[in-house]
Amino acid sequence: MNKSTGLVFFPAFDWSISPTHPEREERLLYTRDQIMEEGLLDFPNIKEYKAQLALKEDILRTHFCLPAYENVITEAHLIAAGSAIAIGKAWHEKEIFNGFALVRPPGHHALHITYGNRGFCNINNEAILVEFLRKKYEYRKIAIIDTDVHHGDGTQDIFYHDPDVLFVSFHQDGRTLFPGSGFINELGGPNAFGTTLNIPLPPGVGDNSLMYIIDKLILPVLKDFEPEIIINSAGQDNHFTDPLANMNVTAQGYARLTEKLNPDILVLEGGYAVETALPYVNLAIILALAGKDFTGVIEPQLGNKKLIESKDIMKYCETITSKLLSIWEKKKEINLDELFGKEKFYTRKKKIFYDTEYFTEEQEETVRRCTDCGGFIKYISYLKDNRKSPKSLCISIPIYSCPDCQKAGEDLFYSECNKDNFQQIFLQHKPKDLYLSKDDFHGEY
Amino acid sequence: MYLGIDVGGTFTDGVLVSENKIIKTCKIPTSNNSILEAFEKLMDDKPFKRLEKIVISTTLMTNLILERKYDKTGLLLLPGPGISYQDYNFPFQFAIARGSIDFQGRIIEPVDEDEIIENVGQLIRAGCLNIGIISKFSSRNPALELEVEKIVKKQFPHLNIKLGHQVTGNLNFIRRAMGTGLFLATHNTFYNFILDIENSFKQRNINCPVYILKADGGIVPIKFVDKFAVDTILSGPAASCLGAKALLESDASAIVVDIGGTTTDLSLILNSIPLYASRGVRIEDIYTHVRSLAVYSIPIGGDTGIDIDGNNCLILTFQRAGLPACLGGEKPTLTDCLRVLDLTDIGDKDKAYSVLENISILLKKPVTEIANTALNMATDLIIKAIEKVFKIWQEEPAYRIWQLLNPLSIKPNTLICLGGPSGPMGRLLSEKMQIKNVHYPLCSVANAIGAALAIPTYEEKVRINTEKGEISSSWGYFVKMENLQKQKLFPKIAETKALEVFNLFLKENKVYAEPEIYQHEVFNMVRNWQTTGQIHEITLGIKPKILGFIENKECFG
Repeated sequence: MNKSTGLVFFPAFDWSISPTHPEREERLLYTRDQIMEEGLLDFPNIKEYKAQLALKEDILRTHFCLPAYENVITEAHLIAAGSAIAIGKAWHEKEIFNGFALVRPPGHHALHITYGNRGFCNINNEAILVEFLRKKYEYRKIAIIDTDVHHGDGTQDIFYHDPDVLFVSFHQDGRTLFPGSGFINELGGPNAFGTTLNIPLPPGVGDNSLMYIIDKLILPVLKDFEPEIIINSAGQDNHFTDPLANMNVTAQGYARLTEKLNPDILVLEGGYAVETALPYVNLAIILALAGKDFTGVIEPQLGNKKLIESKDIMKYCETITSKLLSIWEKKKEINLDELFGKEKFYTRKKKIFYDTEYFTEEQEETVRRCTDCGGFIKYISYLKDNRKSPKSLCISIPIYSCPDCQKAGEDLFYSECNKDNFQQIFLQHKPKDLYLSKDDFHGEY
Repeated sequence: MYLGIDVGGTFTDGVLVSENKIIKTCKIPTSNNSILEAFEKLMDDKPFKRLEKIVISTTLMTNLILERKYDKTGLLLLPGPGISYQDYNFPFQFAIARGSIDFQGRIIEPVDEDEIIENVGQLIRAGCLNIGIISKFSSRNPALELEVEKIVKKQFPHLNIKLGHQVTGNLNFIRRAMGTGLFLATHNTFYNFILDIENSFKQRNINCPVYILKADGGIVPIKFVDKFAVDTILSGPAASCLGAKALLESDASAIVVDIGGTTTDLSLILNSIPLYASRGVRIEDIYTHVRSLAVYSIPIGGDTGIDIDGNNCLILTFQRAGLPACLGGEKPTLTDCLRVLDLTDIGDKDKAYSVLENISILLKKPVTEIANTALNMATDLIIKAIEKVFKIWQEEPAYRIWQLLNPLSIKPNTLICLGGPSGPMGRLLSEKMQIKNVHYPLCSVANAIGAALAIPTYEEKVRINTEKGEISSSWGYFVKMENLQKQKLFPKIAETKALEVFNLFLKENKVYAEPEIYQHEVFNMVRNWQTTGQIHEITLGIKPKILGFIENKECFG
């Protein structure tokens, strides 16, 4: 095995949400400065790859873009997603031992259905990578560990019913931070119960309490799940200087976390302390990936200070660890009918607020319950208080769905296209890599 | 009249050019005296006063670096937070001291005078009288380097000191430290070499300006060259590429294949502009900041040997087999293959035949078939390398959306082969690649033509931080500006400012040319949702050009 680290660095120096938005041109400027000044790219075992554009089919394999693809996607997004794919390809080809897509814009708040920018994200870079790897190289069991301070609600949404994707997110408690979700009772749908794990944390968590969570909870769960690939949604806003959150993690903490998780592929998510955190956290993470000594990466703001969390925080971490660990261990014994009812279809309703665009989506999600696969999923979606917003039906057939669920999903698309219940109908047929809308339907399929 | 001399490992080539015509060429074996020898051969009895300039390209610096012929040099490093010292790999002794600066040029930790004196004292006791002082991010603020210099000078007045930001203002601490060390370690030898040249020209009453060629194909007046000494490494390939350009159409896109005795250098000319490397020159494990043309070298040349391996297969040995047999050597080489096939008339065909016959008998195949197979293998390897050069060029990282959306898609349509066996090899390569082949007898001295026609070229960066009121640059210039507009600097004003400081730099080095702005990026600095300043990054320079295109290439020689 080639023990080298791949890096796609795409700072998008010509893209921002708005000139003063946290997600602006300046965000990775100093990270670039630090990486260049350290001469990191001269290390023989660090290999830089060129950013790439994702294809439309890569996006449609993962998302329903509403009301239309063009409304959601810009080139910057295609490049961020494409860069994650570029690292994925290099990893699969064994050109690299691990890799980091150091890209912006981020993606982990983009849900299965996406109407535009939400939590700085339009499309989900990690999910697009996962679906690419599964489609092109037939991987099956994949773990995504989200280490951003915000709950990775988009990634959770996309894989909520997928028993082959383990999604673990630790984050500052949703009661004190955007997006307000990610509680411990969000554990996955009826076909994938337990493969979503949320670890809400109180403000003030630092390196020690975080390492406890990694050692005692995340690593045992990963070992048990036995994924073929580990992907890290590598947000850097747990940093003690981040302006949008209240955690106390240091660059050393992030490096140790990376060393422990030993992820195959990292994709940058949030992190908005552009001067005080990002240059140092990114440097430390890359060094950890490349197996180099990272202990010299100390933020000037930290200096000789020690950030030690309170006893309460340690106690909280111990409690939540044992709680979640017991859920994980007993997930097969849970009576799913008690949780999800006895119907063949399980439905939940969601209101999804787009903070950047300022509108709310009304969504009804229904999954076909199945013991053999993730079932197929259908969504009914429209924008609240917007008469122009078309009512859309979206049908997703997962890549490893069983023949019954595939057939049921196809039949639904077929029959609804003959009716007038919805203005827009989309089919996402991952096994056949086929992405259709009602307009493509001409009486046969 | 311009005179160009390229001192190579084996041969020294020279040309005399007048009004875009080659007047005279020469090729002599390289010796200690070959610059003057070439000069005399070219000038004959021509009046010196018609000479407008002399440009010399020399392998001296490359050899000094490769052969580690260094004066004892020590580095005092102020790295601050970052990668581990274990990962430093310098051919010089070094010591670490406190004191650090961040990417904005803010001083994070002050220096410690006692520690500095103690460390430098140790370096001196180890025999280092040349001391390089390099702090991380010194190009963003040279204050710590300057302060340390003062402390060291006061305590040890007789040391030879060089500061990192004076060598390069580009980011990359390790390469900056390496460049500073190399500068100090080679300075004496290089300086004496320059003095020798200057003196010997003076003794002959030659008063025209003398220049030295750099790796980027630009030239520096010999008076200033010791400041840019390290930048003269690998000027040979640059000379060749410029020479090829002078022999091509003025808008050509071409692959330049320079076939030497043991190596072949590949470079690209795209829309008449040589392709530059995105990172500094690397020689073995020495990483430098030196800007250069993108040259890819493979170990194949006219002297590459031919042999049989354990399985009775014909192989190329990739080691110098000595001179080709047809030129008096003992072992069969690619040149001998060309000779037996009558693709060249250099050397003794019978001698070439007889060394190849040994292989022919062992493999039970005719000599011509052996020669053809070997040449096929060599051209295949060169073509593979050319494809690799394209791949590297196309996979060069880009950090902006417009670069990814508008990839350069120039397809070179011409092959130009330089060097000894370039005529026949060029024909073989171009037939295989189905691409136009350009060849003139002058191709064997293209390097000297390139040197003769080279002019200064630069690509530099100016960074303006309006919040701090600072201007810094890739050539080490740094100044505080009190009266800069803080929040928003109009692009035009920023560019005027950048050109102003760049023109100062040019003037200091006696360069008279119109600089151009290549790229200008502006980053709004936002703190607490307020714009507090801007960072302007301006790339500017003088485009690589040559003095003219050779007109008498068809009829010369």
